Amino acid sequence: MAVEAFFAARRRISIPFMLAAIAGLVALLPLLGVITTALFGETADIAARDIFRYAATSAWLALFVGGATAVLGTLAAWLIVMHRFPGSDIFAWALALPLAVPAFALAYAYTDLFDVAGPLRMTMRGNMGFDLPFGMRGLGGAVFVLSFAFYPYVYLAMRAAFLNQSVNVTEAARTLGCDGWLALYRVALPMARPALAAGVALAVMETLADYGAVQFLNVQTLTTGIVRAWSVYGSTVSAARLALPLLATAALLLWIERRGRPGRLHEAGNARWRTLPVKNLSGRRAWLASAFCLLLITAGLLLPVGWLLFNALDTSPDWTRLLRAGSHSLMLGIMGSAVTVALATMLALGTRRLPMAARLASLGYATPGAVMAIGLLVPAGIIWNLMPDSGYIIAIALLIYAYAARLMAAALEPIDAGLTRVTPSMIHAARSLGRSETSSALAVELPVARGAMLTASLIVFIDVLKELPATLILRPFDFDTLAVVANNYALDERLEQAGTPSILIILLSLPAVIWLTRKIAFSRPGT
Amino acid sequence: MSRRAIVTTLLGTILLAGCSDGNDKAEVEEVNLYSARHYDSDLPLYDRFTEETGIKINRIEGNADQLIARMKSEGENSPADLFITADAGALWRAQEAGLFQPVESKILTTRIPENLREPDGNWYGFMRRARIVTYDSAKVKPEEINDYAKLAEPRFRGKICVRSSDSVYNLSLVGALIEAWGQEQAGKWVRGIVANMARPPEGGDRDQIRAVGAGVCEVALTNSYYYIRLANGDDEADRKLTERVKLGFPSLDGKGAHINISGGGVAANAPNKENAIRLLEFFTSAEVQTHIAAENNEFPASPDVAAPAPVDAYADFTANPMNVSRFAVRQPEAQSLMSEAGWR
Amino acid sequence: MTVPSLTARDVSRIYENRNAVANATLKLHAGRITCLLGPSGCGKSTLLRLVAGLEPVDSGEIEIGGTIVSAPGKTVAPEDRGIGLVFQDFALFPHLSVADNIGFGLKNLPASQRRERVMTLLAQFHLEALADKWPHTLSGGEQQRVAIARALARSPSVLLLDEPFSGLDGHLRATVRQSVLADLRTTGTAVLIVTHDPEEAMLIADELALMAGGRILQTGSPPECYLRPVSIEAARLLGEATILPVRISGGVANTPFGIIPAPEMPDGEANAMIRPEALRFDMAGVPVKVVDVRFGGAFQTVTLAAQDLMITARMSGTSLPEVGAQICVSLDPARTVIYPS
Repeated sequence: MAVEAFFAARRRISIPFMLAAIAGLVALLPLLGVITTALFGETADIAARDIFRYAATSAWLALFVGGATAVLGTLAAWLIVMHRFPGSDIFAWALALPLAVPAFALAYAYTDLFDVAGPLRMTMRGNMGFDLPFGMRGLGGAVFVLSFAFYPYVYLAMRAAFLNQSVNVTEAARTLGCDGWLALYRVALPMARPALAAGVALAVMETLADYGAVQFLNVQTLTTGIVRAWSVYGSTVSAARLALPLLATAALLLWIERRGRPGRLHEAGNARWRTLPVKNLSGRRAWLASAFCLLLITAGLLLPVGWLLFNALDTSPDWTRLLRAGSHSLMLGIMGSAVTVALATMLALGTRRLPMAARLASLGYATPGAVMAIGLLVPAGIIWNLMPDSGYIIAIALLIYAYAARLMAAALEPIDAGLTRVTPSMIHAARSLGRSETSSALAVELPVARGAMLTASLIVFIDVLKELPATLILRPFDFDTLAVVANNYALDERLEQAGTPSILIILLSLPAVIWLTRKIAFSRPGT
Repeated sequence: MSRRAIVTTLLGTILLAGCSDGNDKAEVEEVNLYSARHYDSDLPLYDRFTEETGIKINRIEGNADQLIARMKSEGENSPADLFITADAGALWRAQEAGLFQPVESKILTTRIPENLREPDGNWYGFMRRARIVTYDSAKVKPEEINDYAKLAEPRFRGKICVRSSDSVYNLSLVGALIEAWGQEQAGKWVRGIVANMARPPEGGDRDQIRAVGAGVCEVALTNSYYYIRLANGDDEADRKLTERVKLGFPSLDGKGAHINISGGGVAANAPNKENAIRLLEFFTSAEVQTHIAAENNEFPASPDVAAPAPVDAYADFTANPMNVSRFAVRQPEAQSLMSEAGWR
Repeated sequence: MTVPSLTARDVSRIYENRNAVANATLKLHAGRITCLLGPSGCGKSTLLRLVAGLEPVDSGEIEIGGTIVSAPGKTVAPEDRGIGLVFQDFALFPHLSVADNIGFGLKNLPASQRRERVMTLLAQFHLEALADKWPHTLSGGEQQRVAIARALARSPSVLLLDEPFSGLDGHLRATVRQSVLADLRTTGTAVLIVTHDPEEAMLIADELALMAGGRILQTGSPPECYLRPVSIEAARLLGEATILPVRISGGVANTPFGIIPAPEMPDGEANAMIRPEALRFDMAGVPVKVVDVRFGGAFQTVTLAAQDLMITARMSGTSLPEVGAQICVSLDPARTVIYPS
């Protein structure tokens, strides 16, 4: 079928298809850069035992973080959508707030807070005579930190999916004796599987690509090996080679995710919507629900950010520098999200018959930042050599390009999901009503996916604010972003000073996050 | 005001704010600095340089190896004039990649001792940092840690804190040991350290010092300035800790403590070569060395520059005279040794 | 008869070496409703897609208003064919109001004319009150009216509807169907409706096209097709039929349930197709045994047996025969057909 669809697409090379091909190429260029780097050149010899250990650590980390985000995000979404309990209206949007906190900032805060020699545990040992039986550094700590950093991806996806579930099916399940948690497990969850897969895929890809947090938490993943190959042996070639299995794994994950989907779930135009049956919780169950939500927000936002804030109070930040960095972050965030979403939309529209091709372009998201940097240097090198005097504008353009290549998946997932609302027959109807393929894409698909595009741009915006490796390596002269400033302080082991820029990142992303979650609440039609 | 108008205004403002950064590219004298040093305390120095010479500094900061990779990609068109970083290993890798050109400067050669610069003049150190130990003075006697070799002895089984082998400072130290002792003996030492570790390597140098204070271990390998910073910082708990936790200077073969440098070299294709040399010379001036020593707690590289407070209290130690380019070359060997021994 | 609005001549479409549509010929006339009837998977939806220009033909050609729009290697795009399409799921645009959905195809008209045309269509399909509503707030019947009005906005010469009534509730279905078809006929468009429901097809069609296995078996008016199906396969498409092996001698076929005149058939073996309602009580007929009786309101479904053969009969009358009784029946020759074996 796929082959046939491919040839059908080939036969008429339409404008949307061409645009999609261009967008896909844009996203894949750095990865091609990684592959060419890996294929040509000398390698350093890194102990096979180490590589195996890195790979195993990466695998465990991805597995545990994937599992934890799936459970936390799904539970939170189910509680919020199907129940009322004290604070549930606030939790509905507050649960997504940790999205605004960069994973590396969480890592700074937690390692500092729970360090053996940190003030908390020193006080505990000194005054209370006992110590915490765990530390933050290590695999467990990394799973903890990354799970609370990334669960909002699952929460947002699942909340939207639960909100859009059919009441009829839920009620049918009830008449068959399937209610409450059983209904979640046997009916709502299977129906929301595409959303779960999409959310967990984002979380796992972020986990695989993370360097800042795991490095800080002393967990040596494949990325560690890549950075070691690069910085100790000075071999970008072996770094690129180490990245190849990671890319292959990411590709495999994407393929599995795609295969697992039971076709596109269309929201039929004639489905009739009714208000979801919301259950009022009371007594101990209500408090349990509130406590669970509060725990998520505390662990993902209040505690670490509070600690950063508390520590930052003692410092006297260089405000002019921070404000300048902040304006750069904001500018890059806005331009980066606009360009990324435009490219992702082109890709999504042009490849509706070739979903796997679109998936390939998402690989940048799962690629460790350091590797992406190596790959990005290939196209960047071409530009630098073609335009020796390329100034500020070119440098910014390169940076924006890097974001698009790296964050394509974050934009593609929601847009793709939004486009499932457009059934093939709607397109055919538009065609029969005198619109060409391009025109019907503009008149039907784009407007229907408008909400999804906004969601995508906000997610990309937040991700750009947090982005480090590409920014570090490609930025022009005298150009800091908040993430860069925070990273500089952290590298220099000055956590107190890293706090202020981290908090500024959170403040900048907060409006976007809040807006995002409120929008989802109103996404259910007919209510 | 309509929503569209607000958005347009906002976007316009941001774009203007961004563009105004880079457009003043008039015919001013300038120098392009690729720096892996990212200390706030360096910023006033740059202003000072511009004030003195009229040369504008354009700066890109980043991880040393990313900057090297960027210079490689930029190739002959690289705008880089001067590359500075805080580890001799990175300077050597840049040299290996053909990114430096030898520089002859009377000022540099008189100010910087021979062992702190590359023999052909490819790069020069301007600050020194010692890789030494902090120890719990209640449990460890100074003579027990006066030699690097002693740290690997059974006396310290389960008593040593050290960060991972990812740290370039550890790599440089082991590189120096390989240079002095040869592969085999250095390998024995590395295995001894791994056996002596109180916990798997975690955290940065500051965390190791604090771990000694918290009683996790008795001795920690660390860079000098981290300790000096804790001992003279704002945090009361940290200052209190340094009353018991002391700084010790082990010696390598009785010739002194292992020294690493902050240094820089002029880029092979530097468009502003003269300015780059002037900036490098500026970094080696007594004024700058004193400033960095006071702010960042590194030691001055020139023997005739007196260490300011608070560094002066720790500056009286014997530094190993090994040329910095000798151990820098051995970082990859050091990494292999450490990986084999299970030093994470 | 007038010149057809649309002619499909010997069109074929091949999927992976299988003929989805094989040499199908079809003519649609202005103001007439043609029903394309067949079981699912028979290729009727593919034929509709070929006519709509959503897929290319592998052989044959399709002509609309004197212009060839499909031929091997040539497919005029759907938007340039002057056809209207109505889908099973109605495919209303969820981001547009009812009025905007209807006006979607009128992009090239000036705003005033466009509004006028939309108003006309709203009135024609009794949708005035719903003009500003969102599609998801409408009932199924209302959504269908919007879909049809939208498809007719550009005054297409041909309107294609794919299973248009299957999405509607049972009791609504008949009323909606009737009023929609009445409104449709007033537009003078050539209409092609694809359906798998034979009763519905016979009720609404001016002309039937029976399809099976990618081939069009027969075209004609509903009575023609029902009473004189060209083959046993065609007969079965339109309703229940019992097939009995018979022997013809002297222009007459003898069956255990009565005789059937077959004046043009040579003597020998043949097959008789007997519709259930062909059997009637006849004191002068042949005796048969009643095996089962089901009361069906207007008629009863009676299973009869004779000489080890069974037949289903649909008989009117108020007095029910008893199970096990013997009755006498004869066959209505108008509702039987003899096929050579």
